[in-house]
Amino acid sequence: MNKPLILVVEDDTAVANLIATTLETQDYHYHRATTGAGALLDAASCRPDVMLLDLGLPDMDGVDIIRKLRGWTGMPIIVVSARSEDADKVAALDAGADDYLTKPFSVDELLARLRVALRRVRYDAARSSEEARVYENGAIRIDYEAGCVWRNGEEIHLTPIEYRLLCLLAKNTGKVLTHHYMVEQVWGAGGADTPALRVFMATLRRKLEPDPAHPQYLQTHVGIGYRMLRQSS
Amino acid sequence: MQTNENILCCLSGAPSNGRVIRAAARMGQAFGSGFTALYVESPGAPAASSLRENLRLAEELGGRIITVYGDDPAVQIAEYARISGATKIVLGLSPRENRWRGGRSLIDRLGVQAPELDLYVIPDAAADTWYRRAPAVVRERFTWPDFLRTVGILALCTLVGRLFVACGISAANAVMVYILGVLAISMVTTGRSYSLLATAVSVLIYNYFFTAPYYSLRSDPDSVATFAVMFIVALLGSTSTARIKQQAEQSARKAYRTEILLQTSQKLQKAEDTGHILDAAADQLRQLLECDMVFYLADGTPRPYPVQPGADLSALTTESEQALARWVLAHNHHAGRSTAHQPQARCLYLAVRGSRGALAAVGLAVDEHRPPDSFEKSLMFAILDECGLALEKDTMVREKQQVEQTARQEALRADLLRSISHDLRTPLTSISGNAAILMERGEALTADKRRSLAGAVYDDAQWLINLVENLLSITRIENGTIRLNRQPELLDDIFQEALAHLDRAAERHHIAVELPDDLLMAEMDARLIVQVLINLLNNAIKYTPEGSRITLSARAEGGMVRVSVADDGPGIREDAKPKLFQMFYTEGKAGGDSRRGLGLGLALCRSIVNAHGGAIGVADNPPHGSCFTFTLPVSEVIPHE
Repeated sequence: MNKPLILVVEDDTAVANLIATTLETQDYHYHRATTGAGALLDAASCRPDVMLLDLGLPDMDGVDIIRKLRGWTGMPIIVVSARSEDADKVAALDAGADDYLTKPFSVDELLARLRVALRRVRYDAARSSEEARVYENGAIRIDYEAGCVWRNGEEIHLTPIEYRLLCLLAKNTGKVLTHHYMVEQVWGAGGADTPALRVFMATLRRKLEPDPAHPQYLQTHVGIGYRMLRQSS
Repeated sequence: MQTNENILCCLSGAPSNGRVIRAAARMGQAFGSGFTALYVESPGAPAASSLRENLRLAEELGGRIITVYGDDPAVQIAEYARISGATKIVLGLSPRENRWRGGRSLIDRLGVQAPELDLYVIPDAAADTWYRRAPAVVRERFTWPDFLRTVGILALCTLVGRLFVACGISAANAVMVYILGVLAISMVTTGRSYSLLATAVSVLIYNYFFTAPYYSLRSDPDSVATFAVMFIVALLGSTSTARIKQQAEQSARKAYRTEILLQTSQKLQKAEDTGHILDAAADQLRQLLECDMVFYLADGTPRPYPVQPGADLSALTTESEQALARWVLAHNHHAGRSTAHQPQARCLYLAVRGSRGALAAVGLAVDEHRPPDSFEKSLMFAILDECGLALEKDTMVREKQQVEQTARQEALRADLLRSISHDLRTPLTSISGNAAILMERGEALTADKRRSLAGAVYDDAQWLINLVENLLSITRIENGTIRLNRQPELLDDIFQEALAHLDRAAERHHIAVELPDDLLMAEMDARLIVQVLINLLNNAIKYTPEGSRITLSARAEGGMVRVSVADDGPGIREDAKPKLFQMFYTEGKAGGDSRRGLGLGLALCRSIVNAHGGAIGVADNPPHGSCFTFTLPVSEVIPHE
C-alpha cells in the first residue's frame, strides 16, 4: 500500500495546522477541507483512506455528514470534537463513525487512532479477495464455521453470549461499538441491558486477554462502548 | 399609598346598596387598598335583578367580589372578615334590617361576632319611601306527584278517622290524625303551598265528616274552637317541619361545600407545579359543574380540560374566545356568557385572582339554559380563589428558589474569578515564555534544553486541561444543571480509565490496584467518578514524595461500594482535614507565586459523590500517609444468557 491519504476536515486553522504537521512527521499524505460541503466533495473526488472530521463545522452538523458519507462509503471516519458529552460521541458513533477523539487531544493519541483505522483499511483490502471464514488477530483465531476460538493454538471455551460478543467485535475490528448497538446486536431489542453487557465483556476479557489489567484486544471506552484492536501478528 | 387597611363591603339586593358600594370604593381609594365586596347568599332568598346590578357596580369600581353561602349574614361576614384579614366593614342599614331576627340588627350582631372590626354604616334614608321588601315567597311550581301525594295522605287520614269512629273511638282523635297527615305532607312535598293547602282542606274535611251535623260544612260554635286550634297546630307544625327540612338541606349543602373545598385545598397542596395546580382546580370544577373548560395561564396559551377525556375542544379556543380570555387576564374582570361583557361568547370567563391581579383565567362552557346557580357559583369562586392562592404560592416559591440560586451562582462566580485570575496566570506565563524561547532561540539551545522547555509547556498545558475539566464540572454541578447519567459500571473499567489519565509525574510513584472482586459494580456517572478518581490520585501524586506507594482499592460493604485511595506520604494535619473539601482551600503556604491548585479538586469530588448519594472522607493511613475514601451505591447485576 502506498502512503495513505488522510482527509482533514477542520475549520480551526491552528488545530488543522497541528494535525497537518503531525501527519507530515509520519509521512502521510493529507488533504484539508474547512466546510462540510467541501468535505463531502473531497471525500468523493480524492477517495481518502481515512477521514478526520471535526463535528462543529460552520455549515453542517458533523453527524449529518457522517450519515451522508455512510450512504456510499465504508471509509474509516475518526471524529474530532470539542463536545465532550458522552451523548455526542455516542450519536456520532451510532451514525457510523469509527472512532472519536476529544479536544484537547495529544498528538500520540491522534497517531494511535489513525494507525488503528489504517490497519482496518489494510485488512479490509486484503480480506475482500477471499470471504473470511477464519478471523485472525495477533494470537487470537476464530473459526466462524466451527464456532471455535483459539489463543496461541489453545482453544478457549466461551459461553454462547461471549462468543457472539466476540464475533461482533471481531467483525468490526478497529471500530468503536456503542453499548446500545452491541446489546441490540447480541440480545435483540429489549433483550438485556448494558450492565449485563459489562459483566459479559469482563468475563470475555478474562478468558481472552493474557493480562486482563492491560488489555491488548478488547478496549473499554467508559460511558461509550468497546472496541476490538487489531494486533500486528 | 399602600396601607394595611383591608376594606370589606357587604353587598345585598337592596337598590340602595349602590351607595354602600360607592362609599366602600371611595374608602378603598383613599386608603390605596382597593376593596372586597362580599355577598352572603342565604337560602330561599331570590336573586333580585338589583343584586346583579350591584354586583356589576362593585366590579366596575374595581372591587373583588366574593360570594359566601350561609344562613346568617352576620356570622358569614364576621368569619370571612377574619379569614381575609379585613379591618373595615362597610354596610348599609335599612329599617328592615333593624328588625332582623328578634329585634337585633345585623350591625348589633356583627358587633358581637367580630368586636375587633371597624363598622361603617351607610344609612338608607330612601328605603322607607321607595323600597318595599318583595314578598319572600319562592315561586313554586305545581307538580302532579306532590299534588297526588297531598290528596292521597288526606284521603288516608279521612279513612283512618272513619275507622276510629266506626270502632267507637272519639272523633276528637281524628284531629290528631289530620295534624299528623299535614306534617307528613310538609315532609314529602317540596314547597310550603301543599302543606298550607292541606291544613285548610283538612279542617274542612274534618268539619264535613266528623262534626255534627255530619256531611255538611255547617257546624256548631263548639266545633269552631276545635277547628281554630286544629288549624293553628297544623300550620305551626308544618311550618317547623318545613324549616327543619330546609335546614337539613342547607347543612347537607354546607357539608358538600366543605367537602369539595377541603378536597380542593388538599389537591392543590399536593400539586407540585403550575400544571398540577391547574389540573387539580379543573378536576374540582369539572366535578361541580360537569362542563368542558379551558384554562389560560398568564401567557395566554389555552389548556383544555374536556369532560370526556380526549374530546376536541377547539371550538372553545377560537381566536375570539382566546382574545376574550386575554382580556379577562388583562383586566381581572369576569366576562363572556351570562355576563355583561360579550355575553355571546361560548364560555363564561373567570379570572383566577392573586393579590397582584389575575394569575390565570378559566373559560367554562356552561349550559346556556342552566347557568350555575348561586350555590355552584359560590363554590366555583371559592375553588378559583384557592387555585389563585396556590398559584401565587407556587410562583413565590419558584421566585425564591431562583433568587437563592442566582445568589449562589454569583458567589461561586466571584470566587472562581478571584482564583482564576491569579492561578491561571502562572501556567500561562510559563507556556507563553517557554514557547517564545523555543521560537526565537531554538537553534541556539541544546537538544536537551529544548526538550525540557517543550516538556514544561506540555505539563502546564496538561495542568490547564485538567483545571478546565474541573471548572466545567463544578459549575455544572453547582448550577444544578447537571443530570447524572447513572449506570451500573464495573469498578475495574473505571479504575483503568482513571489510571490512563494521570499526570506524567505518576511514573515516579508506585500505584497499585486492589480489587478483590473484579466484577464489582456500582451505580455511577462514569465520567464524573473517573474525574473524582483522577483528582484523588493526582493529589496523592502531588503531595507525596517520589517513590511513594499509592493504593487504589474498592470493596463492597453493606449496600455500598467503598473506594479508597491511600498513600504512604507525610499525611494531612488534623486541623486541615475538615477544611480539605471546602472550595478554594489549598494545602501549603498561601500567597507567593508558587504553583498550587485552585482548591477545586476535592470540593468537586465531594459535590460529585454527594450527588451520587454517597459520602467522601479522609482518614490517616497508618503508620503514615492519608487515605481518601468515598462510597457509591452498589449495583447487583444478574446476567442472563
